[in-house]
Amino acid sequence: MLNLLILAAEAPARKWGIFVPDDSTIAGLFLALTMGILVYVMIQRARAGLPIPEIRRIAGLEAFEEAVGRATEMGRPVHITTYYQDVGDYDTWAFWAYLAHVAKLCASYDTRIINTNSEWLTMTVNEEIIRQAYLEAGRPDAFNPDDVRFMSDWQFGYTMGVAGMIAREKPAANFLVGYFYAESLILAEAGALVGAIQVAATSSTAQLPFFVASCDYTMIGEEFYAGAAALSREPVIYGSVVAQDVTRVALVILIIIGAVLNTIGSSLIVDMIKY
Amino acid sequence: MKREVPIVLTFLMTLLRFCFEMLEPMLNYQIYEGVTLFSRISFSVTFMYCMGLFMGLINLTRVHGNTIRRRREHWIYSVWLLIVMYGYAILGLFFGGMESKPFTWIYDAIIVPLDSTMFSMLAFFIASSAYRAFRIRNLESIIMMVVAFVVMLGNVSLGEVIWSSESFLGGFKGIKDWFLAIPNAASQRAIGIGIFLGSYAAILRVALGLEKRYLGSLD
Repeated sequence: MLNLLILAAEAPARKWGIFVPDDSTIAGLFLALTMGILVYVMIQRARAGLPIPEIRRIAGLEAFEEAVGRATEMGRPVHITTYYQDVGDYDTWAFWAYLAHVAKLCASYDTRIINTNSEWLTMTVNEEIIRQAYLEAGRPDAFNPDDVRFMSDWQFGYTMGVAGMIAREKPAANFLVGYFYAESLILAEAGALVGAIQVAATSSTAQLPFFVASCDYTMIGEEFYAGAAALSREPVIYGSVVAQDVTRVALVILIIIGAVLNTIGSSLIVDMIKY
Repeated sequence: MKREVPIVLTFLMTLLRFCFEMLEPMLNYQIYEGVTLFSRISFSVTFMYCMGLFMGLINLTRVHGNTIRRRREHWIYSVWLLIVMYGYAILGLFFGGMESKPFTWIYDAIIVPLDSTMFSMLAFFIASSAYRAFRIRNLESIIMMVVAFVVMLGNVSLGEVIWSSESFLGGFKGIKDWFLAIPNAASQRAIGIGIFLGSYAAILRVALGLEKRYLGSLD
């Protein structure tokens, strides 16, 4: 991502011997450590009971409860899915926050939840999350392991499987949460054809236009991650969102200074970032 | 221990991966001749990943087996799915491998055209979703509609006929290129910076053990 800030300048000479000699290694390390320290500071503030800024209202987050309520009234299931589900990927970690929230709602309202998967390892974690939700709601017998389904790891095999499932099961709520590729529009249109209320949350910029056009609510980019934190309602986790906001302000200031310096002919900021 | 061990393991693996990205001696550390620590760890992760494939097979067999057993609606398709899944796997495993003629023929004759078919449906789906969703209600939607119109004309030969790219401002193509290179790129980069920061905060939450939902906790 730091490469976005880099203009066409030559990389400076290497870097104190022990660091990987790629562009932006030191700058990346500096940014990572700075943000890590900020997160730590905000967490300590939260634990000490000091005031932490609230996360602004995200319309898409409230739509989750509305959609599950609608599905409960109509007696139809809720469907939640994500395509790119690598178990070590941060999009998957954020997806688990939404899955836990939706599973909790469905368990308390006694609504059927269907989760489709394209990755077998993540599927086992998803099953555990949903099972735990029903257990904590006091309805362990209501959990149906057949509703946590592995479709295919092949993109359009997964897409066809999910679209077919949506056409057969006719969910009243369709949650598309996570990183998607070309299958996003097919899934969203399949949900629209059965009249489901659709909420999308994705960090995939290429798929955002399709979700905005076909879904009732769309959470864009950073809202997806901030929403995952907001769902926990723990001030300690809010602290990480505040740290990310502070870092963003600092980056914007850096961009402005860099643009001005580059305009007057100085590549100081560019060289620093490429180090 | 059920909670603490995974959290500690997660933190240690995050730290290890971070060090591999940053420190050259770690990245190139050789356990023995020609084999680095990084390549060994990558291999073991790949191996675990492949073993997990069986869990997917078991899940598919269980779900569709139950559908067949209970004769639910469309159970015949579940029979067909199981026949194709195991048949193709047996063909690849016991009759010449992935390079064998029958295996590659099935892939080329069935899977590739199916892929293309699904991709081609996207054009119709975008038309139907745009027809349903794009309504001019306010200033932003007017701007979006005008820009979408210009970009569409900039991409087709009709736009070239109406306003040539060799005339003033480069025609529709020139304006389209400017839209894509300047405002569109700027907003994509802005969203990209936000995504980077959000994903890094998510990584930190998991690495520091604040995020426990992957352990089955709902909080």
